[in-house]
Amino acid sequence: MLEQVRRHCKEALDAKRLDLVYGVGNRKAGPAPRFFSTAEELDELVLAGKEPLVFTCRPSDRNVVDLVRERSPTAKLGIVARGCDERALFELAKRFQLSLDGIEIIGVACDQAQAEECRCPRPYPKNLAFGTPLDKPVDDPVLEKLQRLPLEERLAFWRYQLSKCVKCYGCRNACPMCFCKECQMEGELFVPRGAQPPEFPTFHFVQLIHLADRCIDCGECERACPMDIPLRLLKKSLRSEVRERFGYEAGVDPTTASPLGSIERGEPSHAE
Amino acid sequence: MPNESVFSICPYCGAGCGLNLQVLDGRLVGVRPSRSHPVSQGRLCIKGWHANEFVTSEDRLTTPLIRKDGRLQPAPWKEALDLVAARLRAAAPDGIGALSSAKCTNEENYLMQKFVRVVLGSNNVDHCARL
Repeated sequence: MLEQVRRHCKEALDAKRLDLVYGVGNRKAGPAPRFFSTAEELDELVLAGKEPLVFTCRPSDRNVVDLVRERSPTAKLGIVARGCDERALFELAKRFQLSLDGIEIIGVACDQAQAEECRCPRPYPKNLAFGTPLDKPVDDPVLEKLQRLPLEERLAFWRYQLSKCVKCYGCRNACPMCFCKECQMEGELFVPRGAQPPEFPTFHFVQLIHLADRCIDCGECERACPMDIPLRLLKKSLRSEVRERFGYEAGVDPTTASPLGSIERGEPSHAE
Repeated sequence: MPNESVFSICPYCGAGCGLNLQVLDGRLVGVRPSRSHPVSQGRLCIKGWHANEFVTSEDRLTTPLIRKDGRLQPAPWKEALDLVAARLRAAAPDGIGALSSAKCTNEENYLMQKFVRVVLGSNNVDHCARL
């Protein structure tokens, strides 16, 4: 499949259908996201599953795709995206953090092994160009086990897990959907300075509330946590709540308005 | 290439976590943890997550400063080093302390503590990772 993707991208660059391709490149120091502008460079394109393409750069709080597009506004950009990368692009575009105009999403499906390793709910993009989408979703055995526990035990579980927090903000920094200029996880109102571990459960819930209809379940928060807090279980539970109550799944398509980002006529809050 | 991911090592402490510095047009615009790095395996502490920010910080010292008339003022290196040498000679040993760095080699740190203990006669030795 890799050769097919490379060929597709090389042809697009040669035919000037694309000016730039964004994907994961192989380097001596390990794979990392990079931009490819020539066919030769594309020999280094890999489909290494673990490197997210969409992330927030700090201190500008802007995502990398938007930063590059600002520099080359007319460049036609191809993005070799997995399901999670595409979900991030869709949700960021809905929130005006980037424009999808002039972007071709070259979607690649993940295989069963990769999907299971990532505990991915949707290991394929909407704009699927290569690979076969898995026909049944990957279950999360850890989450299912946790949800069968009585409430008090679940509370005790989270009390213990969140007490490990060292407040490194890795979960916030690694999150492709965290882009607020003023982060309430740093605000004195909810998070007293110097309190360690941070107050249960406010610190982590501040992020959860903001991500309620944004979280794309990529797992970057959990991977970034140096204390092995299973943050993704919280996010997955939240995602399933939002799905049940609002019928909304972040990142599944680029046009459906998110529940928190839209107001419907007849809503109690919509005063006439 | 418009955006590069340049592998580097976090400059803050002796753990030496792996970073991928995000470079756009020769400017540092962000930092990402290196997932393939054997020490940090894709994780960073709060300092590492912001390791790009001091490089272009306006607070960064780019020249020695000497306090004159109650105010820190830029000074040439020779003047600053001469002043430091003169003050070290004049000071009582216990009045001297030295801060070494977790990012120096073992040999440099060894020399540092030896110099402070044997030449200057002080036991006040510490290092940046405790800041």
